[in-house]
Amino acid sequence: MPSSTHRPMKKADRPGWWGEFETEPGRWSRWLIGPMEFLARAIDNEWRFAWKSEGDLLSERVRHEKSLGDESVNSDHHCRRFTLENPGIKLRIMPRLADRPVIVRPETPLFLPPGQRATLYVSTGVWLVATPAYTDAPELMEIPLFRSTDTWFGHNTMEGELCYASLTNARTEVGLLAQVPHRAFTPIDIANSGQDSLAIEALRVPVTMLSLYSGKRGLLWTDKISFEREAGESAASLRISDHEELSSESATRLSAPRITEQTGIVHTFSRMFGKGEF
Amino acid sequence: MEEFFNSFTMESLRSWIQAGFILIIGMVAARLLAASLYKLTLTRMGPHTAATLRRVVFYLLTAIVLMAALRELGFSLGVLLGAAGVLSVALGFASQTSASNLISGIFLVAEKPFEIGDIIKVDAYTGEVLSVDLLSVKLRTFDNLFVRVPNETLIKSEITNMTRFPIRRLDIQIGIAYKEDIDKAREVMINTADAYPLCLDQPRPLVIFQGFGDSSLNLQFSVWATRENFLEVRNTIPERLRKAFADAEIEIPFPHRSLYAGSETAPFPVRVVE
Repeated sequence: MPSSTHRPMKKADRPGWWGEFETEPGRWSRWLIGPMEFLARAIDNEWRFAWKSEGDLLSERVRHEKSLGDESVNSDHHCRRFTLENPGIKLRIMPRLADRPVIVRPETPLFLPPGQRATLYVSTGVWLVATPAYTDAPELMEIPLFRSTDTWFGHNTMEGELCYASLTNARTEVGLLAQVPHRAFTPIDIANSGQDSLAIEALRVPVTMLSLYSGKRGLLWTDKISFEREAGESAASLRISDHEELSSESATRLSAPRITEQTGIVHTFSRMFGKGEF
Repeated sequence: MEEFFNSFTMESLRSWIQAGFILIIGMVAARLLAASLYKLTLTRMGPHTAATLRRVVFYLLTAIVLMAALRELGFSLGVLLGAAGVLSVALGFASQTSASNLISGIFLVAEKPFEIGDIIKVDAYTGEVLSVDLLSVKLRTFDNLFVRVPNETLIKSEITNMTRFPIRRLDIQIGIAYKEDIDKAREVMINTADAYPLCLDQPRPLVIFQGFGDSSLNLQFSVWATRENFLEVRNTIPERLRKAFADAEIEIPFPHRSLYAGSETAPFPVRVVE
C-alpha cells in the first residue's frame, strides 16, 4: 500500500511532473505520466527501474506514489539495473525532447499563399531522463514516455532521414492541441516569400536542436521555429528563438538541445517540408 | 667453384648487405606507411576504401623497395622489366584463374557494388562482407560460416546488397475467404501496421489485390521498416495480422478442393452429422 499519494491538482496550479524525488530505500516509487508507468527503487548499491507505456497517448494522468512493494512490478514491465558506488535515495526525473526529428502533418493539407505568414502549433512526445540527485551523478537512462512510430522523411526510399511520426496534427491554434503535461508544444512561424502557394503536407520539426522549457500550468514548451521560404524554390532559412510563452517568470529551461547548430543556418527547402509520397 | 667464391669480393658483399638493409627497412616502412594511411582514412572514407588504399600503397611501395634492392645488387632495371614482361606472359598462361580473379577484383573495387560490413547475397550465400581481397571476397554467413567467394564468381553472378539502402519493404502474402470484404481486410491490415511502432508510417503500408485464388482472395501486404528492425518486423507482423483478423472475424481459409464426379457417375453420398 502506498504510504503517500499525490493526487492530481487542478490544471491552473498543476506543477510539472519533473523534479527531485526522495525514495524509500528498498521500496518502489512510481510515477504515472500520461501513458507511462515508471518505477524506481534504490537498493544496496544499485538503482532498479521498471516501466511500461500503454494506453491513451493523450491521458492527462500525472501521479507520484511512494513506498510500494514488489507486487507493483510484473512481467509486463521492462526492467533495468544500474550499479553505482553511491546510488543515494533521491532521484532526479527530467523531461527531454526526442532523439530524432518529428514529422507532423496538418489535419488536411494546408496551403500558404505567396506573401502570407502563419503560425502553426505542434506537440511532440517527450522522454523521461532518470539521474541520481547528487552533484556530478551520471545519467542512468532515458526512455520515451510513448514510443512513436518510425517514419522516413526524404525524396525517395534511397536518401532521407529516419524520424518519428507524430500521432497528433499541426494546428493553427494552440488551444486545439491536447493540453497534456507530457508533450512539448512548439510554435512554428512560416512565411512564404515565394511566387506561389506553399503546400504544407508534412512538417519536419527538428526537436533535437531545440531546448525544452517549463511553461504555465505545468506544460512543456520548446523554442520557437521560424521558417521563411525565400523567392527561390530550393532554399529556405530556419531560425530558432524564444517566444512569449517562455517570457513568464515560471518558465525555466529543463533540457538543452541534443544537437547544437547555429541559428540562422540555411536549410534546403525539402528538409523542412515533404509531400510524403514515394 | 673457386671462380664463384672469388666473385664474392668485399665489394659485392657490401652490396648484398646494403640490398638486405633496403629490403628490410623498406618493407617495414611500407607496412607502417600503409597502416598509418589506413588509420588516417578509415573514418573519412570508410573501411572498404581505406583497406583498398592501404593495399595499393603497400604493393606499390613493395615494388619500389624490391627494384631498389635489385638495383643495389647491380641488376639493370630495363632487363628486369623485360624479364618481368616475359615472366608475366608465362605466369598468365599458367595461372589464368588467378589472373581472372585479380582483374575481376580490380573491377569490383572500381564498381563498388558493396563495401566491408555490408550484407550481401551471392548465389546460395548470404552474409556480411569481411574483406575484399585481390583474389576473393570473404563472407561471414548468419550461421557463422566463413565463405570465400572468388572475385570472378562475383563479377559473373547477380549480387544483392541487402544493406545499401536504409529502409526495406517486407511483402507478406495473405489470403482471405471469398465471403470477406476486401476493404475491411485492408483497413484491418493498415491499422495493424499503424499500431506497430517499428513499421514505418511513411512510406505508407500497402495492400495489393493479387488475384482470385483457388481457396481465397489473395492479397499482398507490404510494410516498410528500417534494415535494423527488418527481421523483428518480419517475425512480428504475421502474428499481429493473425490476431487482428481473428478479432475482426475475418477468415484466413484453408485450401479448398471441389471434387467433380462427372454427370455419368452417381453423386457422392453425403451424411449430415451434428
